[in-house]
Amino acid sequence: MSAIPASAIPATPGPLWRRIGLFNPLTGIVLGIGGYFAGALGVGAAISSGIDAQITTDQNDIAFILGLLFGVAGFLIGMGFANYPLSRLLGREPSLREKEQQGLWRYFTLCTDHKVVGIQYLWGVLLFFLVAGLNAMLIRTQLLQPTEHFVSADRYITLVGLHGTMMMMMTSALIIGPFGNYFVPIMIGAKRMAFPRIEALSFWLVPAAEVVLLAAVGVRGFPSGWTGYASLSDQAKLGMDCYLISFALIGVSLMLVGINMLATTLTMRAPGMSWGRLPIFVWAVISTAILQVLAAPVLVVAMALVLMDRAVGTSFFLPGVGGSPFLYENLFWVFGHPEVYILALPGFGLALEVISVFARKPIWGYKLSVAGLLGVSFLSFFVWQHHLFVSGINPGLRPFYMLTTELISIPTAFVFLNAMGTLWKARIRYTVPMLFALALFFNFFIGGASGVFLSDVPSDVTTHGSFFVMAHFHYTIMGGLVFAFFAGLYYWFPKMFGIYLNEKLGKLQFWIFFIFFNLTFFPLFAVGFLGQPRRVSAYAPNLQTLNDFVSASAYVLGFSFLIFVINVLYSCFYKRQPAEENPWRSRSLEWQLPTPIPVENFEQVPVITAAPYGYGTPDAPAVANLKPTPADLAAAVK
Amino acid sequence: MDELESQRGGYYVEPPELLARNLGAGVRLFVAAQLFFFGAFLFAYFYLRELNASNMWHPPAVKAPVGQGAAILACIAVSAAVYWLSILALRRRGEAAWRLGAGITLLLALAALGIQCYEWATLDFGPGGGGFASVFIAWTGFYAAVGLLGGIYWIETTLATSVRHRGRKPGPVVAAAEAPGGASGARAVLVPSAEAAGVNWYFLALVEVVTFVLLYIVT
Repeated sequence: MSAIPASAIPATPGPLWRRIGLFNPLTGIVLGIGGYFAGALGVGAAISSGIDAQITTDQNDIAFILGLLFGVAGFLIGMGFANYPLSRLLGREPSLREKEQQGLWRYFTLCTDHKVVGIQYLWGVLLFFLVAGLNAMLIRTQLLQPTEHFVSADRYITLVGLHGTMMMMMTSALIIGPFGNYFVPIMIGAKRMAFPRIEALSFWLVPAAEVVLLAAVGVRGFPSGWTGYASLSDQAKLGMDCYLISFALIGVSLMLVGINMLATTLTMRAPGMSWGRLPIFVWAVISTAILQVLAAPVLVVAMALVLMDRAVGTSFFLPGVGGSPFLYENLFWVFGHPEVYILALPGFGLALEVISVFARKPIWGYKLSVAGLLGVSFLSFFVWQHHLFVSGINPGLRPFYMLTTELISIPTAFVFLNAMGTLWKARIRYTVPMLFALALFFNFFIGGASGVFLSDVPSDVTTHGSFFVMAHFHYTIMGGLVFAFFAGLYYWFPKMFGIYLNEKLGKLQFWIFFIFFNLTFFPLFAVGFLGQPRRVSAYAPNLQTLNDFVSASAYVLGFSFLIFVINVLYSCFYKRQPAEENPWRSRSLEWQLPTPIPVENFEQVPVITAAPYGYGTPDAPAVANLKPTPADLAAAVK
Repeated sequence: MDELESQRGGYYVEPPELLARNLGAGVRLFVAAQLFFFGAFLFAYFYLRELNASNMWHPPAVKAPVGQGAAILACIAVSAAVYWLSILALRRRGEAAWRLGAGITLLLALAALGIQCYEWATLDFGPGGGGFASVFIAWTGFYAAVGLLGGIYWIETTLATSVRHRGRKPGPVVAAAEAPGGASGARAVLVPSAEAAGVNWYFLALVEVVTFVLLYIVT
C-alpha cells in the first residue's frame, strides 16, 4: 500500500475500452469456468489418479474440490484481484485504474470506493435473500401435508440446508455489508476504509461462495443442514464439498471485513472523534468485527478439516480411526455462537441509531449500550457448548454453560433497556424506519425469552432439534436482523440513492411483514413443544392444521417482500422523488454531507465537535466542522 | 503536522503516518485471527488426544521425524532473529542493511518450506494413520500454505519495493508528505511495511515453536 495523492487520480475517466478493460465480471466468469475445468479435469484428475479411495467410488472429491477452488481463484483473477498482489511482487506501485471507473459499470467491477462496495453488498444480499426466501416457500409447501410430499426426503433436506446456509451466509453481511461498508468511514469522518482492496475482495467472495453453494443442487445436494455435522458430512455426496467450500469462503470474507472495520475505526477517526462520540452503530460494528476476526478463522479450519477427511483421508471426525464427530461440533459452534451475535449486534446498533433520530432524544444510557454490545461480544465465546447439551458432553460442564448462556442475556438486556429508556416520554415519529426498529425489539424479546428455555438443560433436552429451536432463531435472527435491515434501508435510502422509498408502500410492507411474521413463527413454538422435529418433512397428522396455518402465513409473509420489490421499482424508476439532504433531521455525520456523497466523502478532514445525539437540546453544538481552518485542526489534533 | 501541511493548497494528501497506523493495526488484527486459526488445530490436537478414540490417537508406528522438524524450526527461528536485527538496522543504518537481512530471511524461509515438503514426501505414515497423523498433516500443511507462504510473500513484496526504488529521488508524494527534518517519504512508507511484515513473521515463528514441541517432542 502507498500514499497516493489526490492529484494522481485522473480528473476525467479514461476511454471506454480501458474502463471496461480486461478485468470485469465477464472475464471473471470465463476464467472461473475455465479454472473449474482446469482444476477438476487437469490438476485434480492427475492428483487423484493414483489414489484408490477416490477412483473406486462414484465421486472424486479431490478433483471436484480442486475444481471449485480453481474456479473461485479464476473468478477473482478475472475480476482483477491478482493485479495488485502480482505488481507488488515486482515492487511496482499499485495501479489506480479502478479509480477511473464511473457510472453504473463500477458497481459490477472491482471498485475500491467503500460506498460502491456498500451498494454492491446491498443488491447482492438482497438477491440471495430472495433465492433463500423462495427455498423457504418450497419448504413450507412441502410441509402442507404430513406424509405426502412433492419432493423426496433427500431433496427436502437439501432445500432445508440450502435455505439455512444461504440465509446464515447472507445475513452475516446483511447489515455490515451494505450499511457498515457505506457509512462507517463517513460516520467516523474518514475518506476511505483502511484497506479498500481487501474491502472489495470481501464482497466479491460472497457471490463466489453463493454460486458454489447453489452448485450443490446439480451434484445431489447435501444432507447435513446448515450446520454440516460430521461424520454425516464426511460421507455425503459431492454437494457437501460445495457447502464446505462456500462456507469457508464466507469465513474468509467475514475475517477480512472484521479486520478492515476494526483497523478503520482504530486508525482513521477524524480529529475530535473520541471513543465517547462514536455513533452507537459504529460501536455495534466494532463489537461485531471483534467476533468476525476471532471466530471466523475457526469456521475455516472446521470446513477445511472436513474437506481433508473427504479428500485426503484424514480421520478427524471418524471415531474408528482416532477421530471424533464431537470435535466438529465443538469447532463449528465455537464459531457458530459468535456467528449469531455477528448477525444480531449490528441490528441492535442500527435500531438504537434509528430510534434516537425518530424519538428526537439522545440514546438513554449510551455508555451502558456500549458496555452491553461489548459484553455480548465477550460472553459469546463462552456459551457454545449449549448447542451440545444433548450431544453427550461431560455432564459436569452443563451447569457452567447454562450459567454463561443465561448471563449473556444481561448485556443484551442493557441494549433493550436503553432502547426503552430512549423511547420513554419521547415524541415519536412513526416513520417506516422507526416501525421496523420498534418491531425488532418486540420480536427479539420473544426470541430471547424463548432462548431461556433452550439455555436451561432440562427444558433443552425436550426441545432440542424441534421446531421450538427453529422458532427461537427465526425470531431472533429474522425478527431481529431482517427487521433491522429494513429499518436501515428505509432510513438510509435517501442518502445512498438520493430518492425516497414510498412511505405508504413501506408501511403496508411493514404491517403485513410484522403481522404475518408473527403468525408464521409463533405457532412453531407450539409445533415444537408438540414434538415435530426440524429438517424432517414427515410429521404427526394431528399437527397438520398448525402446519397449514403456518404455511399460509408464510406465503403472505413472502408476499410482503413482493411489496418491497414493488416499492423499490416504483420509487426508483417511476416516482423518483428527490430526497432532501437530511430528510430525517438527523445529527449523524453522514446526513451533514451533500447527496450524492462525494467520492472522497469530505472535501477536507473534518473536525468533530460533538456527539451525534444532541436531540431535544436547542443549543446543541454542531456535530462537526466540515471546513476547519488550520487553527481548528491544530486545536483538535492536540 | 502533516495534516496541517495537507490542508494548504486545498488538496488532500494522506500522511505516511496513516499508512503506518493502518499497517500496524492491520497486522496485529491479522495475528489475532491467525491465533484463533492455529488455536483450532491446537484444540483438535488436545481434544483427540484426550479422547484417544479406539486407541487410535497415536499408534506406535506413527513417528514424526524429529530431525526434519528441528531443521524447520531452526530455519524459521533464525530467520525471525535475522529479520528482527534487520529491522533494527533499518532504523539506524538504512535500507541496504535491511535488504540484506530481509534477503537472508527469505532464503531461510524458503529452506524451511523446502524441508517441509521433503518431510511430507518421506513420511512413513499417511493421513489416515490415526488422530495424531491427521493433526500432523493438517497443521503442518496449513502452517506452510497459509503461514509460511503468506509471510514469505509479505517480506518479498516489501523487499521488492525497496529494491525497485533504491537510489531514486523522492517523488511528489514524498515531497508533499515530507515533515521538516523527517525521513524521506519513501522510507516512511517502507519502515511500517517492513515492521508489519516482521510482526507477522515473529508470530509465525512462535507458532512453529509450539508446533515443534507438540508434534515432535511431546508425543
